[in-house]
Amino acid sequence: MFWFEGLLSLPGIGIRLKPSFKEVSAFENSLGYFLDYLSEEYDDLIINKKKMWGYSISSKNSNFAFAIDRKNIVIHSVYSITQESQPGKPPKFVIPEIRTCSELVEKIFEYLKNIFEAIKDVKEFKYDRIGIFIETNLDEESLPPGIVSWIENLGKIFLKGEVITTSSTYTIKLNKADEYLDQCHHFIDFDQSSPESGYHLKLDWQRIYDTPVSLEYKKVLHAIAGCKEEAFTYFQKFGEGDFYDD
Amino acid sequence: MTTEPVFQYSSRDGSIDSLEGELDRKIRLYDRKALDLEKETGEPRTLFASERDDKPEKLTAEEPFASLRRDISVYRIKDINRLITRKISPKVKQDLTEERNLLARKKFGDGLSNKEERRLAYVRWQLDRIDDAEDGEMLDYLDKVADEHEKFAKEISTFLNKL
Repeated sequence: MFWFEGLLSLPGIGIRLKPSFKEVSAFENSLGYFLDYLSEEYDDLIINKKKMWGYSISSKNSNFAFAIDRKNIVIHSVYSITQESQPGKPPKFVIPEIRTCSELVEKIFEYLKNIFEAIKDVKEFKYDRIGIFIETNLDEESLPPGIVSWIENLGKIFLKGEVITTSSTYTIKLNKADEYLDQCHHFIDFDQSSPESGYHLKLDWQRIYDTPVSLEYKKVLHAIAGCKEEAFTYFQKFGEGDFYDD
Repeated sequence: MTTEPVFQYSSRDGSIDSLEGELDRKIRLYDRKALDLEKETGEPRTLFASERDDKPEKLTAEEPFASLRRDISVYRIKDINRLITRKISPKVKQDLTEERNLLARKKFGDGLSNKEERRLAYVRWQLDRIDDAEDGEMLDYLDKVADEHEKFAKEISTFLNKL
């Protein structure tokens, strides 16, 4: 079981597109099929037009938000928490259905399948990057041991002291293959002088292709599934602190 | 009564991450009373994010990305994390318990490699989290009651001294 499975982890998947401008209008029109599909599931869709092409889509009743335009297809999970005031009592938080990270990812794949199905006739679009990310908020006691060691080492190794506050991103090159580069952004934000704000962590694993790849419906889904496996394996190692072979 | 997001942040153009600066915030918080008040008074929306202290946190649409963590207090996040952890199946807990026992026996026998030590620490952390999800709320409550009793005892002691 992944460490982020038992935490409020919000996963997302992004694909950076290389558009063919003569097909941009066809791309946008084809998205209508996906919007129809979504509107059957949610009756309160909020659809905003993005600049010249594309849409951002969300719904208060959904755990997901979408940003789809000629440059990106991004689906990420959200929690819409409603705060209700109660006379004489602390406010009451109404929490939507709680889903684990893998349940959310499974649903994201279902949406991706529908998006690629909708745009399958757009033949000349390509993609050059796949990103898999998770975002989580933790209290100090809930930090996995690998992340505790990482934070300790950030201070000890380079600064000879304990890190009290930081808001920083570390981008690490993980693997260079013939056709692509794998990298991961590690974003950490905390302030120990304000413990109620907790630790905010975002891990964003990316595969960047040297040459843009054709956006073929089944092949791209297969590639994303492979990236998801590699990203989650990396996130797990990061949480366990298991980067060494000994 | 309708609700709208208290705030949303918009684009971060030029971002290098997978979000590409296109998205709404991850945890969207809606505050019915604040929305109604704002409509009535035109005052900025004020959000009481923490149940455990009564300090209002003023949040505006211009809050930078780094303040996302302030949306909801860590105590509330802890409660949500417990809800999610409770979804872990008993089989997973059983497997983790067996793995911990195996590694613990080896530790006091042949000893553990560094990698196994790290794994043991991780498995223990995972089991602690599952236990906390099951009993943590009650323990937190007892902790709070104990604090209250200690506080009361101190007040009585001070009062008696004054007498």
